[in-house]
Amino acid sequence: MKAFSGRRPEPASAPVPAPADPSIAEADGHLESAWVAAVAVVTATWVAATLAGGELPLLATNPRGTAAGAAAAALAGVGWRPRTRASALAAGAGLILLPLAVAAAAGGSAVLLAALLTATAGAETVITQGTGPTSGRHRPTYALGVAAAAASLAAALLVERGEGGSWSLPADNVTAAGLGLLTATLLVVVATLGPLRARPLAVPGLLVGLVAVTGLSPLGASAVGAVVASAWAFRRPQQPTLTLAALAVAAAALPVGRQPSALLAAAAALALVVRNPATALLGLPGGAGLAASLVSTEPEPPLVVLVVGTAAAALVLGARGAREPRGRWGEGSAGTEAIFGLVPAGALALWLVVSPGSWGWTGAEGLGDYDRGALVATAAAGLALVGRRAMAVRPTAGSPPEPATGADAR
Amino acid sequence: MEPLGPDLRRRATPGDVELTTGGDRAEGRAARVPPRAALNPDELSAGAGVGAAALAVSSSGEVVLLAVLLGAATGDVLAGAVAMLSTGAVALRWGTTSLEAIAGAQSVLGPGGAVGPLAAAGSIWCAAGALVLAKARGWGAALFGLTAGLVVAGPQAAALDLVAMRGAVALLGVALAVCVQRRAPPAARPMALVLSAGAVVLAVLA
Repeated sequence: MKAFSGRRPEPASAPVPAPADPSIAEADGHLESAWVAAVAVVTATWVAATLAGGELPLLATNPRGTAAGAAAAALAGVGWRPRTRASALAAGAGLILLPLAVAAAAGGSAVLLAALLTATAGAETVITQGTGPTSGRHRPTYALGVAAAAASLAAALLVERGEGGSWSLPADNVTAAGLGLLTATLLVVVATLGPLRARPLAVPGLLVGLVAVTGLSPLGASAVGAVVASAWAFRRPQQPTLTLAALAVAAAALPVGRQPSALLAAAAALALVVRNPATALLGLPGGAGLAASLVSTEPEPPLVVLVVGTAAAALVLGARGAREPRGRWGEGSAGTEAIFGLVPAGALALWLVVSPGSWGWTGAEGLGDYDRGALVATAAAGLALVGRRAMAVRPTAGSPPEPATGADAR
Repeated sequence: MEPLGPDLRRRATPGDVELTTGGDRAEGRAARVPPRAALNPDELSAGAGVGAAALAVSSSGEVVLLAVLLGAATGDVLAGAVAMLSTGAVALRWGTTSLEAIAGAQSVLGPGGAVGPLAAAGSIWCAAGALVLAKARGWGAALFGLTAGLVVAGPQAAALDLVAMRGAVALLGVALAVCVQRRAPPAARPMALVLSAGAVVLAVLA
């Protein structure tokens, strides 16, 4: 039997004994509540730092856009229910300190951000190397990836400091930009393929990637991003996160692609939470923004490459998705993740797809037509579905029985 | 009595609960979760189709959104590719992805299939032909035909006679698409893909 699973199953692990003491279960409940509260603080901090305005030199290209993706991605942590007190404290501290560091670093230096990124990565490494019940045999690999990401980020900052006398990203030279891109790639890959609790690493990954790629050749970055996105869409259509992230980073390399890149990054973060092949649709607003840029401006080779790559990835995702057996939306989700993970992420995803024009605080512009069309389509589809279901309603138990027609006798 | 399964007493972890979309795992943990009032694939396809029709008729939204909805309505990859290329050609021909702006341009300049340089008009006809020949499944064929008619003649008109003309062209597109779906050989589908690619090339040349 082969069943498609939107989430890569965790490796085989030893069963967890049932809590014998009710006080342990109560403590678990408190931990969960604390975790949810921590993630709520993270999200609120991101939003506050974003709405507070001002220029964040670390995110010079589009601070609000990158923060939008990060705020959405902060919800990724909600889906993780920590099993131990230590892991909850470590990861919670890392997740809270990261955005606070970005806000505090608004004055100029990237050192604090780098330190906090490294600290977060270290916390995640400790967690992923733990001996918890969901330990897997690939954990050392993922931990190595996180460590390599931290090292490459440190190297990028050192190179930038040596060449340009500044600790800030975006990089002014190709070497530092390439190292930053390597950092982003490693973090996003670990967040996508690694343990569930590593999902928040996509936040710094996207953050660094969107900033660092501005120092690279637009054509090269777009080509690489488009190829990676298409190849990944073909290989793992059930996880569109990496496809969307590659397209987001590639789009950020283009001057006309900065705004769509923020929407694509937000889509990548949300897809990481929802983990369903259909979440590839979250890239629709970003794709529409890229297409509008291509049509309305003088076509440049990098933009053509990127749009063609986006279209190819969309087709591949659609082709693979059409072959997979399909089920009902939301089926199979239960418990804490369904309530605190899928519901907020689903609401954000719906907001992103139906009304990306209202994400103006991310820098997204020119999506008014898309908004109007999405509202019209949603309203029409909703009415049609309501009518269809209304016609399909069967008589309830309280309804009078249908008169016998004699068909049963036959 | 059969023995109990492995450790059914403990609470499910996130790793246990998966987003299963396959229907052949009825005995799995996830399958025991009672289904909620969710949408099934048929309903999603129907909703996408109605949404696409609403976009095409009302001329609101973006061509990318229209193409994705057309593809989702049919659940057919080749038809989706044809829709993407055809609507992309239309956007390139008019220089905008906004359906409202395209409708406005056709209201002022005339139907897309009858105005403009030869390459531009040819692009429109190629796009419409590709949509008709795509042989979309089910009632998706009518949807593709409707879109083809509106691509050629435009969805908006100020005068009554123009409304009648454009409505007639839309109905003709629907009739042609349904006829092609039922009678055309399978080779029509690859030809639709070639035509849609040709439409893009002509739009770029125009």
